[in-house]
Order: sequence, then structure tokens, then C-alpha cells
Amino acid sequence: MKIGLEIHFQLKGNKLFCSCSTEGTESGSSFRRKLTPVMGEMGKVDNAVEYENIRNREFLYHVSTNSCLVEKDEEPPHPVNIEALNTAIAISEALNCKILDYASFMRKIVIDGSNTSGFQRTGIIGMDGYIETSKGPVRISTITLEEDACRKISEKHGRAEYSLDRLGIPLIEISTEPDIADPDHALETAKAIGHFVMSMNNFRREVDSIRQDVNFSMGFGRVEIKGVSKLSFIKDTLDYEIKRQKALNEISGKFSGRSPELGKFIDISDIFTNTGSSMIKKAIASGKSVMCARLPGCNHLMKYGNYRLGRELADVAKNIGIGGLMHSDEFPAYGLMDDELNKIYQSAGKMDNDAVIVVIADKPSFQILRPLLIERMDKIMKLDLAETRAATPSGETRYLRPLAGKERMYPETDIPLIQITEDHIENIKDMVPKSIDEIKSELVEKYKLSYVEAESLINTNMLSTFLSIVKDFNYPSTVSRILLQIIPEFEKKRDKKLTPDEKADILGVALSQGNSYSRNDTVISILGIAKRKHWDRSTLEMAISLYMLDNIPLSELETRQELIPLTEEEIRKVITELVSSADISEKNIIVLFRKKTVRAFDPKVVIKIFRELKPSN
Amino acid sequence: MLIGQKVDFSYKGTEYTGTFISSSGETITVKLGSGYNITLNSDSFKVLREYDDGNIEDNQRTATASECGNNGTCILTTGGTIGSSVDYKTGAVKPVKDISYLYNFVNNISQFKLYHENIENMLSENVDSGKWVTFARKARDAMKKGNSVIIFHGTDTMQYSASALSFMFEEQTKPIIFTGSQRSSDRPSSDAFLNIEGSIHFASMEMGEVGISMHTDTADDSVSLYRGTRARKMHTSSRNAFISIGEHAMARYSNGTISEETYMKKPSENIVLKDKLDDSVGLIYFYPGMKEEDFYNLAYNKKAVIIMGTGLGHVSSGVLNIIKKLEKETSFFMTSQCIYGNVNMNVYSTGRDLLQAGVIPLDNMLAETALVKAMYILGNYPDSLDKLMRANLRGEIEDILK
Repeated sequence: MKIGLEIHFQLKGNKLFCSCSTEGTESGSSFRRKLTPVMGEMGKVDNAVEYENIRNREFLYHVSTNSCLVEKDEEPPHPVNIEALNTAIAISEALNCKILDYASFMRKIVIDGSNTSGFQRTGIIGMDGYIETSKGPVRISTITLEEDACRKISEKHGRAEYSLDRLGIPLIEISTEPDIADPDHALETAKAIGHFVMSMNNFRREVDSIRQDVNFSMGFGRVEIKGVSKLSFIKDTLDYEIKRQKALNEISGKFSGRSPELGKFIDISDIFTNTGSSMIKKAIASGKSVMCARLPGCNHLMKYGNYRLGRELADVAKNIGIGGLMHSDEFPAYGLMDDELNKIYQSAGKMDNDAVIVVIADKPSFQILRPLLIERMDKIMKLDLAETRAATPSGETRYLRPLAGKERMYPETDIPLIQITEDHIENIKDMVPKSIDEIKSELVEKYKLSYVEAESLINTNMLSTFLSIVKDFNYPSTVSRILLQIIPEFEKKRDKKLTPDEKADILGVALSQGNSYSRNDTVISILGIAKRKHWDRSTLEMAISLYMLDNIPLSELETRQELIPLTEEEIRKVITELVSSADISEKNIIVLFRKKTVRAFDPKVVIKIFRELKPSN
Repeated sequence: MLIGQKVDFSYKGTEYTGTFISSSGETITVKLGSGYNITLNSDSFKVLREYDDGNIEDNQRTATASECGNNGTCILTTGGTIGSSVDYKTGAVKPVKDISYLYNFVNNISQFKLYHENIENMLSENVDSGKWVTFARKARDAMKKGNSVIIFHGTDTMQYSASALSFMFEEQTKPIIFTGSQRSSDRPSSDAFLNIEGSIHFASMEMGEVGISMHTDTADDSVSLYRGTRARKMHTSSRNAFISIGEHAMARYSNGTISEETYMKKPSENIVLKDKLDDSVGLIYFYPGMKEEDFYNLAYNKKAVIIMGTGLGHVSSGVLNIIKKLEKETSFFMTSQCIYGNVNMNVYSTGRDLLQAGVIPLDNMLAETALVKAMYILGNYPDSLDKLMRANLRGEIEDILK
């Protein structure tokens, strides 16, 4: 088994080839475009490109507030975003890559409409690195800097709609060699790479900011699985794909690799003149035809046990806009009656051992569909499973397109070569993310945290929050305690997680999506008040308790009695009263003192005064 | 190493295999198996092995030396972005010799009889009056065989070439359509394909004028046909860079059908080509503080000078004095740098002084059109320069046609 990963992560700030922001919303206008497959560098049309052409779709682009003529493909790219380039260099350094002498960008032809230009601009920054894992080093083949594609809004009736908001966002792609041993190892490797990604200051941190592609092979050709959205899905997706390929291997074995001959498509629309199936009724009313075809020897292979041949065929149909491919393993279903099924089987000439597929589509579509289905069956029987697949949100995979070849790359001539000198690399050394071990020892040495605390901050993804608060607020141990103990404890008590607004009320307003916190002396937050009022730890914790557990609004906290610490004078007065009563010692003074007042106080001061005032025996 | 040759090489201690693409002395570019080109310093690059497998791919497409046949549409290619692709030696965009591969990618044109003749291979900034004569003669030859004419041309100076042919053809039997593209045809998003589709349809109209056929909009929805003498490139890079100044497009093409939008001259029975151009004409853009000697140097020894004046058609009093000095040898014509609107030299005293000095106002004629028109008149009717410059010969003055 061979597994490789491609991890993509977005950077925030400006886009890669223009100064538009990475953040934006819809502007209301849109425009329609088509894409034409053109020659690759060596004069051949790429396989994947040709396939898209079959689909012959048109594209509607929704203009966003963060787009300009570059995203509309109405202007050549501007010079590369230098911060993004530096980030790519830094991450290449962290992953032990060789940095290329020049950044040179290529046009990677992509004509599914996700790029207005019809290509994605991409360039290699680093090559040949490695990352350490428990099962040995996993080699990094390349680190590329590229522009993200449009965000897909919808796809129907041969028209895909995209938003320009995501187009051009800087994207760093980290590709590993197929050194990964199994699905668990894949997850570990992805996490290890993810650590470096997430420690970059300008990592975008949105829902879809990290995307993983998984390259997988178990001897039947390389499958590239696109868009595994969550780390935890890597394992599920791989497990699914292993199961799928095993099942196809068995099916192929049954036919000794020889493809069963797909029967002719026979128009059976007439059967359904009085059908009770509303789906078929609607389709026929809209001018579509219902046709069926026999698949010899495929009974109980379409959808039975682990076999899913029906889905393999339906994926192909779906890609050319045919949503309705049904098959005999599913029947009875879709409101079809027994006599209708009999007529279908009769028309197709079904024998016991055969399967029948039923397709609802426009008449001309059948001519496009048929060769694709035959090709698909042939591929499966020959166990040539190499292709590009998409990861589904449910942890499965589905057919997307043939693998793209090198023919789809040619030079982006609108962007001059950018030299990356040794000096340049030296100058951005501070940006290079540290390994987990380095960070841990830094937290222990510089901030005097315990190893356990350091580890927890890293594992709970709160490291950057911690660092940015400490930078402003100081008191690392207090901050660590609030993040790791106080807040989780109160969340548990009230049985509700902090909302982003509440988080901002306590820690300071997040400048941009949870990454860095604005200065606490200018923005109202509990930490901000604590800093201004020089609260001690217990006052601060009491404030958080009032806010989280007693629903006292932030605006009232500052004037709250409990949070106005007792002055030394007032403490002295309380202790004076206390010492006159019996059984008082250093052991119980704090507990007794707390009973006497609702207000905050500094326990150290209480002890100090108690020592002064305690009976001298 | 030869382009396309497979090589093993080492870089910073690691060995790779790739395909040699180019070297510039200081740098070497190779294509990796993944399709990526990487560019390295020559001194960090060591060739370990050059493969001699005789399998070097020939990416030189052979040019088809065809000539136009009869009664179809003749596409004359002159270069420009529409006929450009990437030169892998230098990485620059360069004209290609053969555009026949475009035909596979253009929709709705199967019913047309298309011919292709390559007449030039140049970037449009290098076009001059001599080239206009060549283009015109080629167009005449094609029309003589009963063909409509489409000229693929760089967009930068397309309006000049279209104007030149508009004037040189006093009568024409078929449409002459210029077309080009703002995105080169090596890109999937190129506007070339739709522009060509539109121009082929426009070329089939019953029409006897010269037009420019380019995207109406940023979308791939329609193509507009602009009168050669009124068209202007108004954007450096966008698809809809061309518009007709002060009038509607002549026609619009969308989804296989043409809608005619404004007056177009019917085709003539005969072809009358006046293929003499006298390029002793200057075009001077006046600006505040323009030095008198600079104006003098630009205007000196010209038979005609087109001035792009400010606002309604003004220049400084200093420049006016130079005009007065040169006025005996040189005819001066006034257009406006406002692009839109008429010049009117009766409103302010400067204008009246210019009129008195013999400067001739050209109403709303575009300066670039006026430049080419003066060349045509000087070449063919030198004695009637002042009179003909004011006349509306090919729709270059917008109002009579409405």
C-alpha cells in the first residue's frame, strides 16, 4: 500500500497576484464565461482537459467585494505577494526542503471553471524535504505556492456557478512522497504537517482553510482523492477506498478481467405513460427519455454486500449532468410497480444473472453516456483504477475525472522569475515555524510553564492565543491557567461552550478570527480591565466566574462590589475582628476571611497582615 | 542540450531527471516529471547524463502555406495576441505561424467555407502605412475571388489599421472584419474563440464596410461589430476594450444570430482600392506647458498635423505662434483629447485665434482616424486636403449617419 498526502492551506491578508483582500462578500453582479481546451506545452491536449470538454459546460461567476480585474481574468497578474512567498519559503525551511534559486510560476490547465483564466498559477518553492514521524521520516517532494480556485456555489443544468471571493487566495501545497504506511500513519503525518501550518501567523483559519488530497495506491493504479476536508476524515476516506478497490478486484476476478458487454440503450419511455412514479412522470413531462440497457452477468454486483458497481456507473453519468441512473439491484424502488419492472427487464432482455440499468436523460446525452459507461466497465475489469476522485463529506469517495498529466502545465509568462537569494532566506529566518519539541522547551524555559501545560496548549490549538495574550498581558502562568483550567471548568459547570463573542469579552476582541488579540488596554475585556486595575489572579478568576456563571454583563463588572479589592486598611480591619475570635491560624485564615467579605482580596496581603496582628503566643 | 532532451542532473546534492527547456547563461530551466518548470542558477546545476533517445518532441507546428479559394471567407493573419502562443525558448508570448488549430475550438462555424492566408507575423505596434497597403491589397485579392475578409490583428493598433482600410477602399464588395483577442489563444479563457466566431458571422452580412469585431462585454455572451473609423481601444486589458465612440455598435452577434443595430453601407458592385498613403502626417498631443520648440520639432516638415487639443480644441498661445509660423507649409487639424464630443473653436478666444491661424476643426472625428485619413487624402487627393478632411467619407464623423 502506498499513501501520499497533499496538504493545502490558505494564507490570509492579500491575494497572491493582486492586492485584493482574502476576505470578502458577494457584490451582486455576475458574468458568464466558457472555457476552451487548448494545447499543452508539448502540443497535446491533456487527458483531464479533454474530459472536461465532453462536459461542455458554461460558467457563471459571482463577483465578490474582494475581487478586481485579475480575478475576472481581465488583467494580467500583479507582482507576487511577497509575504505569501516568504511564508512558503519559511515552511519549506521548516520541512527541511531545498529552496529553489528562483520562484517560477506555471499555468496548470484546469477547465472545470474553477479558475476564470482556465488555469491555476502555481510554482515550486521548495523540494526534497522530510518530516519525522513515529514510523520514520516521510519525504516531502515539493512545496508549491499557488492561487486558490473559485468557490463553487452550485451546479445544475450544465452550468456551474462560482464566487470570485476565494479565487487568488494564496495557497501553499505540501506534497509528500508515497512513504506513508497506512491510514493511521497518514493521520499522524497530516497532523505533524498541520502543526507547522497552524503555527504560521498568516494562516487563514477559516472552515475550509486546510484541504487535504490523498494519493493512494494498492496496486491498481494511483488514485488521487481530492478535498478531504477534515484531518479525522483521512482515515475514513482511505478505509472506504481500500474497501472499494478490494470489491472491484473481486468483481474483476469474476469476469477474469473481460468486460461484460453493455447492451444497447432501449427507449422505454412508453412503458411509463400511466406510471405511479412521480419522478419518472416529471422527467418525461420535461421532455426527457427513459432508456434501459442490459449488463450481462452483473446481477448482484450493482449494489449487494460490498459490491457497488451501480455507483461506479452513476458517478460517470452524474459528471455529465445525468442525475438519474438506476439499476436492477435497487428495484423495486422509485415507485416502480412490478409490471413496469417486468416490462423493463423484458425490453432489456434481462436473464437471471444480468443487471439492467435505467437512465433518465435528454436523448442526445445517451450518445455521450454510452461510451463513457463502456470505458468505465473496461477500466474496472482491467483493474486500472488510476483516476482523480473526490472525497465526500461522509468519508467516501466518488469519481471526478481522469488523472491530470504533465501536459497541463506551461509557463506563466506574465510573471517574471523571482530570485530567492541566500540573504533573502536568512532575512526571514524568524518566520520559520518551530517544531513541537522546540516550542515545548521554549514554553517551559521562557514562560516557566510545566511540560503538561505546554503540551496542552499545543494540543488544544491554543498556543497562538496564549502567545498573543501573554505578549500584551504578561503573567504567563495566569493566562495558561485561565485558558486550560478556568474557562474549561466553567464551561463544564454551565454546560455550554464559550461563544466567539464571549471569548472576546473575556480575552479581548479577536482582530481576525481567533488568531491575534488586540491590545487589552484599549479594548474592553475582562483581561483588559484586569490589566488596568492591576487585579490579582483571584479577582480575575472571580470576574470570569461572575461573567460565565452568573451572567453578569461585561459592562457591569468594573463597578461590581466583589471585584473592588479590599485595601490594606480594610483587610486590617477584618483581620482585627477575626483574631479576636478563637481558633484562628494561618491554615484557616483565608477561608474564614472569605466568609467575611464578598469583595476580592489579595491572599498574600491577608497572610502578611495576619502575621503582624496574630496573637503573639 | 537540446530543447525537449531528457537529462539527469543534480541540484544541491540531490539527483533528478527532467526535460531541458532553456538556458540563459546564468540560469537553466528544466521541466520535471510533474510538469513543473524549475529555474536554477547554472552553477548549482550539474548535468549527469544527457539521454540520446532520438525521442525529442517536435513542437514546431508546420505552417500551412495556403491561399484563399473562392466564394468563402478568407482569414488573413497578421500576428497579434490572437495568433500568439508561448515561446518556450524565451518564455515570451510570440506570434505563431499557423492558426488552423483554432478552427477546432470555434463553435457554430461549420456552415462556412473558410480559407486562411498568413500575410504577416508581427506585433501590431510594428504596423505602419506600408503594412496597411499590404493588408489592403491582400483583402482586395480575396474579395476579387468572391470572399469576405477577416483580418486577425493585434488589438493595440487595430483601430488605425481598420481606419486605413476604411478609407483606402472607396468601394468594396464584401465586409472586411478585423478581429483580435485580449487573452492569448493558448489560454482556455481566451476571448479569441468567440471573437472569431462573431467575425465569421459578421463577414457573411450584406455589408460593404470595414469593422472591428470584439467582445461586447466581459462575459462570453456576445460580440459587437464597431465601425472601423469610430472604434477605439479604451482599456489596456479587458475583453470589452473596444467601443464605438459616440455611436452604437453596427451589429451584435450572439449564439449564432446577428442583430443589426445601426446603419451600415451596402456592398458595392465593384472594388475600388486607392492604395497610396502619404505618411508625412503628424499627431501631436498638446499638454499644459508644452515647449514651443517641441511642438515645432514634431510639426516641422509635415504636410498635415493632427492636434489633440484640450477641451473644445485648444492649445497654448505659444503653440499658436508656432502654428502661425508653419501654417504655409503644413495644414493643421484640431481634434480633442476628450475623445467624446465635438471640437468647437468659436466659444473661447483661443479657439477663434486658432481658426484665424488656419487650423481646421474636425468635429468629433477621432484623432487616430484623422491621422490615417490625412495619409489617405494626401496620397490620393493632395489638392483637396482641407476640404476632404472636413467631409464625412466613411462615417468617421458621427452625426450624418443618424
